[in-house]
Amino acid sequence: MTGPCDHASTGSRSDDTFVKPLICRMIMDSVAAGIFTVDLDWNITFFNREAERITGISSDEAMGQYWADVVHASDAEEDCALKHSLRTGEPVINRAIYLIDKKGQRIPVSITTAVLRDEQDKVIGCVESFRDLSRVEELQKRLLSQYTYEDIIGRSASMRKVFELLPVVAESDSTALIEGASGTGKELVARAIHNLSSRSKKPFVAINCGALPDTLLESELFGYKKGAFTGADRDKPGRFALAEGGTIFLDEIADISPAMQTRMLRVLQERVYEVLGSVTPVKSNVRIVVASNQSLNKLVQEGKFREDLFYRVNVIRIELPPLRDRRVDIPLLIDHFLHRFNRLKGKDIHGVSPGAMSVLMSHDYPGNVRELENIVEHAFVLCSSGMIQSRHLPPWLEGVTPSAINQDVLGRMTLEQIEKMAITDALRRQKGNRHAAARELGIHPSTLFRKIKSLQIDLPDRDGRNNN
Amino acid sequence: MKIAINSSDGRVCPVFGSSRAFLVVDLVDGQEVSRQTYDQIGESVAQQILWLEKNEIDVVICGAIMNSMTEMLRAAGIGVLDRVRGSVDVVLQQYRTQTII
Repeated sequence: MTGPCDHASTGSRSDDTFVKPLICRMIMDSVAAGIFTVDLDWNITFFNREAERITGISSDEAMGQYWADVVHASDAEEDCALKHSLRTGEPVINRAIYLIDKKGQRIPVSITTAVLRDEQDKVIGCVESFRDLSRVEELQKRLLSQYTYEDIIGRSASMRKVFELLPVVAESDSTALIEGASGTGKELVARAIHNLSSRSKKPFVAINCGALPDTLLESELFGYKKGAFTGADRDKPGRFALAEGGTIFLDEIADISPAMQTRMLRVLQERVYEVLGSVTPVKSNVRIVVASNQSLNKLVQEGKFREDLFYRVNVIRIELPPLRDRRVDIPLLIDHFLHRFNRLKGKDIHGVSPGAMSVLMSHDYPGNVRELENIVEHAFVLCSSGMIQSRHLPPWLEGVTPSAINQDVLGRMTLEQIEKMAITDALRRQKGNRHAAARELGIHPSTLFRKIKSLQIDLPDRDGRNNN
Repeated sequence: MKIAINSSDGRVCPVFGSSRAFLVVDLVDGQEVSRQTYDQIGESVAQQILWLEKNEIDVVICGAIMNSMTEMLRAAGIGVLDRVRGSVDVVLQQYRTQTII
């Protein structure tokens, strides 16, 4: 069994050009990377000091052993870098994998492999070097935690402003209005306000006002008494009652009807409501946080939203920027989603390749953070290990990156026309399945239904829900 | 008693979960009564653990395994014999004769 350092002094060239084995060993031991070599039978022929430190296995234990029984690498079976180098003669450079050390700890490493040849250029084995990335990973985590505030992630100036505002808003107990496009994280902000407030021990109750018709919304919000209407065979508490002492989050407030706006105004003004089927007013001690994906001020000017209600809800206003206006947050969000999916699914995806990151950075995200989350989940499912590559991203993503779009054509289209085109395309791709199309666009189904109606999009005869 | 060995090419897989193949052997009074190889178990280690639990595996024999995975297996009532290496047949023989290292 001979290692690379043994070959170091056995060449035909003069000793001046070759180093002696002992010196070679000293050099290898001084390198801040684990290095080991294998012969053609995959048995270890060299194991340096850093390899001992990272794996927790001494050189004496390792020498002569089958490499995979010593270096417990996550790529030992599928797509093994060492085997790839030996088979093709090509090196593998900086591939992210993990090792399991003697104590069962996961060690993230970056590996590089290459074939070893003797003086006659005959392949005699392979070398693998690996750098311990534990500290890098730890620093990344610490960095991410610095930019995370109550589950909201961002390092952009606009998000830092939101972070600064949150504790002040939470303390005040006034009604808060959160404005932002679909998928910008309005509910997360509402939850953060609740969690940071003195009401945090009491319930947080969320309801999407846009998803329910008027009559259902009223009974959901205020509850009903037995016999209030056909089918009311028992008393049912409303969301206001369930949120008593805590916070109620009314999402998509702009979508409620004028009649419902009047009822909401009374609750906001007098802090009382009536349960359906009862004439006794109920006093409510609930902090109200509302959200809208449209500008309420604009809706007031258009006469679509009551001005007095607007002034009631617009006590404190938080505006969430769309993701395309805070692209600096995209890598942080990707890291966060990968970390979460790895934990949930028991996988070990290390990150995103530069090519895939470039595609992700250039997309405009009409569905905002929710769309990014869906894209990362899609790629996560398709990627079995290592890094997410461009091929793991949804195929439509590359097709809609700005570089691929005919800018001249886009430039002549109105925002409404572009929106209509995106929705029509998504519906066609999903064979008319509206829920699937909403998922693809990264918007809530109720938002999609509303847009289909307002943009007068023709739907296919079948709704596609039964498509296989 | 049902034993599952995370294996690849007739050897114990060096890292639990890096192979999707499991050899499941049924032992009664130390004698092998059946064996079956399953090649494509779970897309992730968590799914593999769920599969092992569902198939009422008593003991998993594997190479290196992360502490968190060991905890998940133990929480599912599955015993773990880790850091085992070598040929599956030799390992099984050693397990039956209680001479496994």
